[in-house]
Amino acid sequence: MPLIEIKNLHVSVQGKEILKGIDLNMNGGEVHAIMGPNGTGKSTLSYVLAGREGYEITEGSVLFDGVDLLKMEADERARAGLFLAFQYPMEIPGVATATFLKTALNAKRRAQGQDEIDAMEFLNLIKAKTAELEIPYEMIKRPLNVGFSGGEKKRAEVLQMSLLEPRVAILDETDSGLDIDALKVVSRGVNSLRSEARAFLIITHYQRLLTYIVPDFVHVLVGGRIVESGDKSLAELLEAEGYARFEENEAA
Amino acid sequence: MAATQQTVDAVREVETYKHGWETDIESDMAPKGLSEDIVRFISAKKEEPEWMLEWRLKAYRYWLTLADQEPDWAKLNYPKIDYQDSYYYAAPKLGDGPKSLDEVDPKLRETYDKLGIPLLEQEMLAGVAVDAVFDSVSVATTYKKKLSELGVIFCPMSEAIKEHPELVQKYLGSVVPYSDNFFATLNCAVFTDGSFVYIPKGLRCPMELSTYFRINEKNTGQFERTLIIAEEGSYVSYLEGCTAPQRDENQLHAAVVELVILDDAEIKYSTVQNWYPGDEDGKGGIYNFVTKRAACRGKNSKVMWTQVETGSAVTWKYPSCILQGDNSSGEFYSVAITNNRQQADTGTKMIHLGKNTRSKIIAKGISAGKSNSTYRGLVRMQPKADGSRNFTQCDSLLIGDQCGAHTVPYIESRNPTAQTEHEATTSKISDEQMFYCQQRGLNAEEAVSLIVNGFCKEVLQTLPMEFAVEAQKLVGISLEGSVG
Amino acid sequence: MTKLQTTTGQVFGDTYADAVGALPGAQETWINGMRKTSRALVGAQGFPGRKVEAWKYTSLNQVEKVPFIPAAKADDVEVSSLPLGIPVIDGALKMVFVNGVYRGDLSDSFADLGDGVSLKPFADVLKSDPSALKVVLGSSAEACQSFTTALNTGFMEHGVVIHLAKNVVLERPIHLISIGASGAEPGAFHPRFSFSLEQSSSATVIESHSGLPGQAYLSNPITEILLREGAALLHYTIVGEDSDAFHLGRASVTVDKNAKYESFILSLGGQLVRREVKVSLEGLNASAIVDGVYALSDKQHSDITSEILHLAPNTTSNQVVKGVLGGESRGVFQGRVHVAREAQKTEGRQLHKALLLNRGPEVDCKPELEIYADDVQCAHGATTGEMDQNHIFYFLSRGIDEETARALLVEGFLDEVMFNIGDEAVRETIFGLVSNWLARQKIAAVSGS
Repeated sequence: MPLIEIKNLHVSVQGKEILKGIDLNMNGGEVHAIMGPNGTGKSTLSYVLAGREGYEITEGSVLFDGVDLLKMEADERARAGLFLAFQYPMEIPGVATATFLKTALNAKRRAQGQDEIDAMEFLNLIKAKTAELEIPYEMIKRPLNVGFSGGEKKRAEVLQMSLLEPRVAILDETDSGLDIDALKVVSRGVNSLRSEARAFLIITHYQRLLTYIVPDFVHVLVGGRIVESGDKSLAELLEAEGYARFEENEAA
Repeated sequence: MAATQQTVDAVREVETYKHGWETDIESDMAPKGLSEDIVRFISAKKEEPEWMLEWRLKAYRYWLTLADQEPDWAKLNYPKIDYQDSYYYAAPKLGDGPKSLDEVDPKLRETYDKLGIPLLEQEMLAGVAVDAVFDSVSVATTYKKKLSELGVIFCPMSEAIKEHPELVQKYLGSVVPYSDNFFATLNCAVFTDGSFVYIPKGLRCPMELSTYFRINEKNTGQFERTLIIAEEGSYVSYLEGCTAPQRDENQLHAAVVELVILDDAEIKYSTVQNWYPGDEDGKGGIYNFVTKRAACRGKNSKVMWTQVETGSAVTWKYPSCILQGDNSSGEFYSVAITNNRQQADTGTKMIHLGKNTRSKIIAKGISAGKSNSTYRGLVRMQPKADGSRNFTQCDSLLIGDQCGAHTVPYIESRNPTAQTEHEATTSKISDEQMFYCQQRGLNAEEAVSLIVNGFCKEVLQTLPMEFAVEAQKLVGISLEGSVG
Repeated sequence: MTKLQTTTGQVFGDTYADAVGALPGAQETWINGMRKTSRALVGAQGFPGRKVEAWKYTSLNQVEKVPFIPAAKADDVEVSSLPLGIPVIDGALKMVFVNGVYRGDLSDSFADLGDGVSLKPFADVLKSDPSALKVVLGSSAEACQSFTTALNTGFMEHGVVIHLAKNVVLERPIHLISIGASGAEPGAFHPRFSFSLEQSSSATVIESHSGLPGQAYLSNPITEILLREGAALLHYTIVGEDSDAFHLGRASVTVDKNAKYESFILSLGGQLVRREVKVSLEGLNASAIVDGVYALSDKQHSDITSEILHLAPNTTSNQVVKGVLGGESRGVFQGRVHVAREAQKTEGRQLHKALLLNRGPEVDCKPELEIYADDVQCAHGATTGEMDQNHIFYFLSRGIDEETARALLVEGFLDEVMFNIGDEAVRETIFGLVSNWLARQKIAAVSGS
């Protein structure tokens, strides 16, 4: 059974159809990339999978490990192992990053019937993870994402992902706003999490990120539909030629 | 450490308002209503000296002239209070009073256990001595001996009146005079007990002093009177916390707190107020009219008020600072949470009289349900307050579209070298913030609690550790049911 | 004849009350009723003192004590003696009122304003077509919602009624010039200015309030403004009353869907000046700017009190008021921003800053947010204090003397708001008035004095 099974997914926002029938299966161990020009529904797809309100699913289904994902609340999906790395991570004033991480980790542990994490254990875990991702330890004492640079925010997202160990991770434009060094660090973090039990959905506008996180499959999303799928060479082709020919097809 | 953990666990257990029960103790009550006879009864019951009775009567007679001057400028709506329909004295029967914790009525102890304040373990709760006030009479005092060795006086007000009349006569009413305002005047006439604290010159009080208030009898007006005196160069941190049992009738509370701070002395006064707020339809709940004022009389006197107001149906409360001594400073940190039909009109007054005085106001208001929360605060720079500074930050958070959040600052300056700065914002928890937290696995209530705690952090972090933990839990508990 | 009684006695003398019966429009029951209700209210409550929350910082006790008479009979007043002359705004059409009475001989002709523009003296409309006033005057209850309005309504007679038809764009600004001048006895007058702008019409209106030295006078002007869908009004009010004079003025503005109200108040004081402005944003996307500056000296008292009511979704308001206080003056700013439950997506911003130039003045400020909708962005800020010593030092270090430095800094402080004045000619005039004011002050150092 695929980890994620999207069938004929149609989604509207305020009466306007954004996704017009998406079919996509993802298995454990696979990295899928979704590429496409701006405004074609890439972020919509990530938000719908994560359970954000304001999207009307008019048709289709999504199964997560065989269970109807669309019936679950956003927090249930998260606790079940679905993680979204936001394009624009939210700032939450006054809430220390460490407090937030611990709260999120414990929410997941409780859901899995585990005890809450011991304070020392958490401290050691977080120290190891921050070192791995080259995140200054001081950063986790600061309020979550408040005053973080673009790069720091993205690193903090990867830190959360690494801590929560999701089964399905969606990375929404994680490369936007990153310089090359930050991009390398973030990519290394993601690559270290690749495993047989885990699937990645990487949403990006550019091919750049995909040279560091090499995908198994590349899908082109244009006008709310996946118009072509292929392997990593498709990404290179797109980088060279752009999306023009798909858009022409779409128009026709 | 174990005791703290127990407190934490006890508070966690409180899901909605679990502090709503009645303890069945036969009370010793004065008849209903207010008259000179009642004032005399209270004074006699307390075995007070003549001068105390005279002061009470003076206040009572003055109060009668204020009949139509019950303050009406606050943004509060409550039915007219019939002051003759209330009891003004109730005491739990305790025989000769407990000599030690073991002698405390087990029922009372059980009550405190439910509240998460296990008296038996108070001694283990390092650094905290408790003067527990049950209804109007103090029933247990710990650490008294240890404190008295240091020259600290920490006792019920009724005892201080008898044992330390010279101090009481000198300071009682010197910060909040009997003619101060309608509610304070009423308090002067009928107060039954409260705490008295005296910190001698140069002493840094080694433990936090704490009083937990409880209202128990039906229709009991609760009129606490607290007086704290910090002599030159001394320091004390005082904690006040309270919960009340569930009621249908509204209960009146009009407390007065006076702080006297001399040269180079400092008082830190923290309150967590979690009285019964009434039910979802606004039925029942405490009416809380409080006059709290600190007089920074000396050079470099310092006061810090911190309050976390989550309870009561109606809150009318403006802990104030009179910054008289040069270089004295006043700080006010407040979190006011209203839910359902609660109403809070609370803030502070900073009166800058001396040179180079400083004040800081951080007020966070959270409104949910059909409640209304108002920040009302005065900053006044008098002509001699050269070089003084004020900074005020008021932030309001609305949860839902049926509540109200209001900010009413009064800023008055008569000194060009003094500076005031006031900022206020109003916002809601954004859908994006909620979604972000939920995407990380937090349910809606956990997310609200986390975000609101973050919003209040600047205030909560000024609380002593034991209180901070309790207060954080309360923030979440108070807002339960506010998100759909 | 009704006498106006207050808690402390009569408001105005018998002569004052007697004059009332003769006011035009008395034959109309509703106008009569409105006047009566208003006078009764003023009589019953008296002039507000500091115990009334809205008048906490501006007590009218001293106004109440003056035995005013109706300041009619204005024809023989010589206005050329006005200390600063009649203020001139380039390109604007002048309408002059002396003691509230329209003076054609001093005004520009307003015969050829073009189609769709109607401009009539208020007294004429009261006599000939009073029902035309129903919409602008509203109900008795509205007339009584503030003391200032009630006092005016009780005695309203003169003023102007301006109406713009749909889509009319009035190119020339209209400049209403009100001049107070008492004879042997102190006089009071209550002009009423009314503007209705129909759908998508637009105009610029300036009000100047000044007066002659001599006996104190009380100017009590009310401006009513109705902006229909998509209409736009620039409204400027310049108050520079005589140093003995009282001014109790109010603008009451209704803003419909997509309409814009943009205003600026300059108060250079009088003995006691209170300018009230109430803006009701009643339609979707309605917006308002309610800026102001006050500059005071001697024992002047000036109060700007505003109420901005957000009553519909997506409404926006912005307010910046700055004050400079010298002498032993007293400046008051009160500003209430109210957001009704249904007014979601509202944005309301308010800022008040006051600079005290020396020892002696007092500033009192009460900004107020009253919010009943959750999806809003509202903020206010307020500061009081003196000039930044570091800034002064910087000027000194560049060889500029301290007095000049201070004058420049005060000007800079005020410029920030004045730059936002949309109409260029008005902006020039206001800059000029403020420069003159500054030139008359001695802005000496505060510290160490």
